[in-house]
Amino acid sequence: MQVKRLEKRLTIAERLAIPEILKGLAFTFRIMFRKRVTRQYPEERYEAPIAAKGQPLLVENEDGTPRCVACSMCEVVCPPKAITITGGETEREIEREPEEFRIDMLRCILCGLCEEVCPKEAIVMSDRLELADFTRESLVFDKRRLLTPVSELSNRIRYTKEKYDKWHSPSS
Amino acid sequence: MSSGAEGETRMTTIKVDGVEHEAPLGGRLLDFLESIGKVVPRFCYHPGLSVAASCRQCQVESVGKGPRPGTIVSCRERIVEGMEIHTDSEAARKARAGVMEFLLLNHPLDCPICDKAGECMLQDTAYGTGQAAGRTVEPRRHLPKRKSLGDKILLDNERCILCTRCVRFFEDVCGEPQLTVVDRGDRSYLDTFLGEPLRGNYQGNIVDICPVGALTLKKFRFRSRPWFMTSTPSVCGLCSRGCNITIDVRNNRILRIRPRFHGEINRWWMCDEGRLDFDAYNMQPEEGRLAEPLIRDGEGERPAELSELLALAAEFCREGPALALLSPFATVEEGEAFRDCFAGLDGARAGFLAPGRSARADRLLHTDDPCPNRAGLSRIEGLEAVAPSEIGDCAGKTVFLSGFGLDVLLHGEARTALGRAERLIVHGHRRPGFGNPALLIPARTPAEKNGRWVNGSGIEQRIRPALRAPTLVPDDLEVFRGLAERLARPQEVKA
Repeated sequence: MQVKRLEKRLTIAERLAIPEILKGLAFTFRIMFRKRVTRQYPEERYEAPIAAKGQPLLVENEDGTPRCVACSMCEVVCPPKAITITGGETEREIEREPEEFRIDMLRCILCGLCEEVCPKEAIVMSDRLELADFTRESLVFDKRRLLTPVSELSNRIRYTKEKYDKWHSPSS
Repeated sequence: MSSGAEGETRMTTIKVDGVEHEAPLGGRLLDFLESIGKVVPRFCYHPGLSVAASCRQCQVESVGKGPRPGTIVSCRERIVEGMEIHTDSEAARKARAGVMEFLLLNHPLDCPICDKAGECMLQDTAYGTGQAAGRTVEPRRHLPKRKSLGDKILLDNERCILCTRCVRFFEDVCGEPQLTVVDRGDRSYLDTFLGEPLRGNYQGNIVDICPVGALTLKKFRFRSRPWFMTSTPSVCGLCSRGCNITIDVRNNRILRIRPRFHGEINRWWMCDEGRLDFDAYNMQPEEGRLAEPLIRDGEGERPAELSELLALAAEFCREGPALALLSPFATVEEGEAFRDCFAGLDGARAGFLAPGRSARADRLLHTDDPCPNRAGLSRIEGLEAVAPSEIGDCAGKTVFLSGFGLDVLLHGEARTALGRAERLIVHGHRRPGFGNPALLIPARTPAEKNGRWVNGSGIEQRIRPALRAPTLVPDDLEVFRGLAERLARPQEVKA
């Protein structure tokens, strides 16, 4: 096979290297006075914007009951099959609630489909993005650890509602 | 479905959606439309019940001769000469959409909670032909949502669309009406007579035929979404009828059993006993399921390899006069392998347990024979039917009890007689509850194996494994073959 070599000849200035070094230093100094984009992570935390999709959490109503009715839509839609639900009966007017609700955060890919599919606004993506731990077991979240009071999640619920209303305008 | 003697069905040509078809004269129009692949939604029509034509969902348009022109209810209409039908015309679609809108007027938006979601005819039809949004602003009708109809079934009046399938089931199939529609017009609702609980052994069928989630089985309620379960076609083993069933399994547990159509055996139905009594199949090792081979060791037991147990079993069988008893739950294949085991053994008596008739027979399906494969096993030459009274004295004998369900079928005296055996070898899915077995070989349940059963009327059917057996539970055939090998060639046993 014939190989055609493209050889760029360096100019004298380039061969001397000094102007190039100065150019590089100039760039460095210019950047030094810009606003910093990095942060001192553990001390300085990142505040996620409302659209960020962190760990999915279950919404707990004001009266302490789960909003989830164990319809299993999120379990079905979950691409990596991270959600496991066992339904159970309650004495409340809404007769069904999850007896067990597990999210395996080792599997979860934070896609947000569970939040999108939920007919009851019962599972929402939170701003929890620091999802590391020392054991595998502690990363499988059960119902007790997932249930979060609605007051803590109301911003996200309002946000998703807004988006939903925008996409599903009455004209369609 | 058509009436008249066989061979006398006259055919005629009718036009469906512009295409000519040969159709049986006098046949049911809906059945015929379905047989040529037309999708006609329906709620109240069920082939096993009388026709009510009350839901009006199966309307099609008739333009030719025969019934009056316009939309007709295809479940009630018979095929006549010169018929011309449009299943998907403007008029037919409009009529059906109107019916759907009325049905959905008061139907609660319950689908996320409702157990039927995923296999609900109303949900499917609403998806297929209904409109996405309702036009009403009036509040929906509210009715009792959790009404218990006895110990098996729960009624949700709000979800009910008053198709009266359940009412007709008790009238037509059971011959004992128990449910009825109370009140009139838009106030009507389903209830039992005088609000009494449902009786009888066939209640579960109304849950199957309910097109919506109004009737739910208490045992299955909220256990699983239908789409998560794996369905295995098999045969019920609780009597000799051999009803065809579908076993729905999730995470290796049976969650429910449904009947499967068989025209000569059970049609669309099955009894509640077969439907609800599957706990023995679901038994887990921590609940008493025998999950590994065990050898009695002094007072206690120790786990061992299957080959060691089989070698010991063969030795025991050769030592004493052996009585080998097979469960009538065993398949035909197992029966043959079992007979072959003991065929060459001197003084051995091999047979299958043939318990007496029960008083459980009823008019509909349940027979008086508690064994699913009595007919199949009695066909096997060299395998005698042993009634519990014929077991006789077992003292000084080696007794080999084999197969699922023996402990359930043995009572009183037979148990004591077998318990007195010199060496008791038990091959079962759990401990027998009598005697002191020297060897415990784990066995599979009928829900874990393949094979043939012959029902009481001589129809041979296949059972299929719906569950995975615990890892150390060998297939029953493997046990019999291993034992046969060791009985035939004793010198190699010690190796």
